[in-house]
Amino acid sequence: MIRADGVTVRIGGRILLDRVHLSVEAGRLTALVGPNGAGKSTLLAVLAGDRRPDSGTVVLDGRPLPSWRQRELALRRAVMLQDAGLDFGFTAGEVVALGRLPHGGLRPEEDRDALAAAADMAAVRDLWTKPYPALSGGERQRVQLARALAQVWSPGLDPRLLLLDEPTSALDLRHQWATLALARDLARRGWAVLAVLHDLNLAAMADHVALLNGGVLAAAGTPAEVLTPETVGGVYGIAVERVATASGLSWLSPLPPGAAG
Amino acid sequence: MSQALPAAGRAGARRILPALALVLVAMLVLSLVLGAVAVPPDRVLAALMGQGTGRDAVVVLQLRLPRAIMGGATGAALAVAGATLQGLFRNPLADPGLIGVSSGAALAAAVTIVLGGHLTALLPWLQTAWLLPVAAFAGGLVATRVVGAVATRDGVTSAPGMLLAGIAVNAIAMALVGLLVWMSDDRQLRDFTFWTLGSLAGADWPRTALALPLLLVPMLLLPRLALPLNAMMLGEREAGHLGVAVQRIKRQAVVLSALAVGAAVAATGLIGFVGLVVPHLVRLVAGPDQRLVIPGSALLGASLLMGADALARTLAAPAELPVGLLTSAIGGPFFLWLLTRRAR
Repeated sequence: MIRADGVTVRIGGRILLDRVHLSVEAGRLTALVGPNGAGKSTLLAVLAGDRRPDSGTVVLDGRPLPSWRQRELALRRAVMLQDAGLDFGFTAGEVVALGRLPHGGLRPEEDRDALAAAADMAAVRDLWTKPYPALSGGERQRVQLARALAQVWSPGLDPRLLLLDEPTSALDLRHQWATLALARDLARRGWAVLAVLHDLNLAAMADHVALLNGGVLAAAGTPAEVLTPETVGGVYGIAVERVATASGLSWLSPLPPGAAG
Repeated sequence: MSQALPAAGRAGARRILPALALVLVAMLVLSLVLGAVAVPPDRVLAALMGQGTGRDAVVVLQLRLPRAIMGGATGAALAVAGATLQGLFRNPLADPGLIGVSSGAALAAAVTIVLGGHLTALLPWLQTAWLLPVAAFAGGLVATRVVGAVATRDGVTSAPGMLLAGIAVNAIAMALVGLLVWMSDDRQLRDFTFWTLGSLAGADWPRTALALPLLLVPMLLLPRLALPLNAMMLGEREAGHLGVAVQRIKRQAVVLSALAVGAAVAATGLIGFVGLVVPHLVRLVAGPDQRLVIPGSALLGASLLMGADALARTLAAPAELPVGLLTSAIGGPFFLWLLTRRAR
């Protein structure tokens, strides 16, 4: 669906991304992980078209990203950024409804369906008439997710691309897992979903994991291939072990410094 | 099939526009009735229909009507520019003066008042009466152009950059104004001081006819930016993801706002408070949707300035108070009252 090829981004003398290749396929949930400052958000900005790479190309659905018209792009790809502040008292529902902007209000029924579907998927129905600035960080995140979903929720424009920058960072445990389950479900419907994640056990729910470190793609593949104690430990600089839980899940667990295993 | 969602906006928000339109009509009537000589509504109506006495016709048609129109258009233009820029800068407390237009106009006005004598001595065909508004308008646009240019890099204008550049340009313009005030003689000082207080006293038909298109064009075009401006309140990147041509909208919003404020300041001098607070008042009732805030601000801004001017003409009759004093004197306390009421 969208492919970054040899993407390099520099700011001043610093290299934020160094010849990164990443392919976000339709029908697949891709998790982008890595330590702070690894270049995850920069790569997402490049894929979203916010930042032109200094070298390398981005191709969306067979066409170079810069050749897409902005409105045309907005019908196919939605982006959820980190901490979206808002100093005006829009209600949560009004914020979600802004997601329908690219559709131009031409099909009110389709808009209504999209808003209802987005409200249910992101579990924001109860927040609908509340002022956005009064919501908690996690509630805001769900509202922004609903806005992104409403944006591309229209029949006939497949495949669609969803770019999520740390969509679970402020969510409670239940909503973290619900969001990941939703992202996976959307991928099953044929969407291409990319989520920047910090929690590696959440990332293990993805179909494909890309691990960035210092602007370089350190590893990419299935969760089983990438999220090994060796790779993760090497990149994050902390000892990690794989443990089996009582319910039979395989879990990545960090070992606090000093608690040598 | 899922249950229908509740309406997202505020209950009754849409009723604000008809309500404000009624207020505007009431203020128009008031501003034709009130003045040094009161003309009762029935005689105002007769004069408007061309059936009034000669004196009524002169007072209503030649003196008060152009003034009411100019006042209404100026108030609307200031308020619409305020609503637009507050959305653009994502700051409910942004004043239209932030983009430098008011201080640029003030500088040009001070130059004209203090140094205009030398200019008209060189170029006798220049008419001082027309020179002042034209210079103020041009000064306002030049200052905004400077602010915009400073804040633009590689074709991208940064909104925070504009705010900072606006502060610097305002400071420079005000320093130069101070220098001119220092150089001025007593009459010039008085003229300039009165100009900064704002007045509609000069609003006759020729001036109104000149200013009206400049005031109306932004007012007719800015509502078209309401939806993209709504999206831009989420953030510029977010608006871009929603398909908004952010740089183009930003440029249009700034240019049209500068036109509106520049024309308003040129026509009436500095009238504070309207551009900052009117959009705020509309938002308190209607919520932040620019599709309501922009037209609502136009109606309320027009009403406020018309009403204030009617009072300005009557309170100290036969003398006139500067209307800019009244807008701040009435609006400020009212706004404070609203804020304390809401804080509770």
